[in-house]
Amino acid sequence: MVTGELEKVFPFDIYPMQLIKSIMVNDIDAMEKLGIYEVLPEDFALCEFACTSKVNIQQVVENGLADMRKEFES
Amino acid sequence: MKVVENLLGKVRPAFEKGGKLEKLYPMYDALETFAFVPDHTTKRGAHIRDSIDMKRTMFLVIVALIPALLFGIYNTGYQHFLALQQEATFMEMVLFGLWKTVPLIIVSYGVGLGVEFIFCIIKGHAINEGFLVSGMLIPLIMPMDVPLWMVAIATAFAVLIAKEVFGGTGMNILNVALTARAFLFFAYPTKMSGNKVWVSTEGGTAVDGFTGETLLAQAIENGANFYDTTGAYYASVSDSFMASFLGFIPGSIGETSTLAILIGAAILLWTGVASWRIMLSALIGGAVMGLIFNILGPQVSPDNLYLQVPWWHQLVMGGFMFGIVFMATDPVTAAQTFRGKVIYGFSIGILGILIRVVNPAYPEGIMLAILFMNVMAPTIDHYVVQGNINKRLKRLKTA
Repeated sequence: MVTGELEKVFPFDIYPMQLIKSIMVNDIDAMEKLGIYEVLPEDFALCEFACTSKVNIQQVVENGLADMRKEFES
Repeated sequence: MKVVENLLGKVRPAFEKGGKLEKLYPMYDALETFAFVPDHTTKRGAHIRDSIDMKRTMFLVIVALIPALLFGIYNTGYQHFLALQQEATFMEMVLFGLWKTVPLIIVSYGVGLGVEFIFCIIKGHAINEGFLVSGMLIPLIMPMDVPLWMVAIATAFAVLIAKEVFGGTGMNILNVALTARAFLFFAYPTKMSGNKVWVSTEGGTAVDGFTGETLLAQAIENGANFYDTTGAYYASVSDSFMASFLGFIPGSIGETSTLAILIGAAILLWTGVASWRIMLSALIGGAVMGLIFNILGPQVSPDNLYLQVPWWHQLVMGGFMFGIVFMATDPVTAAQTFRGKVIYGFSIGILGILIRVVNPAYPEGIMLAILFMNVMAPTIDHYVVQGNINKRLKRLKTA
């Protein structure tokens, strides 16, 4: 809910909050566009520390990557 | 604190599953997590988490509101005794202010939290802390004489229509406190605008020359030639600037003192709760619009004296400062990307001054400017994010 704190600690040219939200709603197309191919769950460790809402961000990203893999298999 | 902890521990079994008050568990949970950091532990991922959470964040905003609240209480009494030309000590002014202000705060919190508790118990989810700040903001943006039942209706309306129907805290499109004010502004305009509502004259008759107009209303007729509550003109523009910077002018309870608001802004920025991008760009936006009016005003429409109010004076009048510090920075309704925040804030500054000066039906435009930009914020974000996507796509093609 508080914005801007993830971007502050995230080094890539990617919008972390928008990416995480697209994973949560399972929007494959948006995930691709927002750069899911360029990240690993560990990249979000600092975001997870800083997140005011205490979302388990690494878990979310892991799920997102799993979804992508499933998408390619089918 | 130990006493509270023991007490909460003692009543806990009654609220847990199978207990007598099982249905009221959300209420217990809300109280416990408000008093103490919740005892949740991490299962995986980063095992160290920042100690700040939603309730602590909200609480910091309330702390930041305290200077504006305290000055508002004092100023309510100060304006009252000034209008009646009665001698009064500092304590009498504060007591009068408390007598006017405290009921508003109680009604706002009572109704708002009541509606929220009922919703949470029906839906069975944890109570979200969103109303803690809104409940304090609502009384601060009301005139001190607004009837309590109106505050109750407006608060219930805002919590239901602006927040709960969208899914609760964090999902709302419009700022909750401003929705309450906008509701009253359009439903009961006689109690929310005009010259009668900003200074309480009950229990006596006002002095000759008393007007009770805010500086905003005066500017339409007189330009920067302002007078105070008793009708006495300020010696110079810098005098009236000083009065409005310090806050000794009529207005809504919390909005008058720019100094108190700046103290609050410093707290918000130092703790990192609010975005400096929004505040700064809104301030610049307001200054730019004021400057444009100052330059073009005498040529385009010499009769409209409002255009000639100096831009630096525009910034300290009315609710502009309160709006950009406490309302525009609400992270839920503001733009969410860095670049989006700058655009969002700048537009609020521009629109706030524009509405105020150009449309005489709305002496203060910041409320409508913020509500309008709340609606536009997702669109701004969409284009900012889309720009990022396109940039990365282009990189992909060249690689």
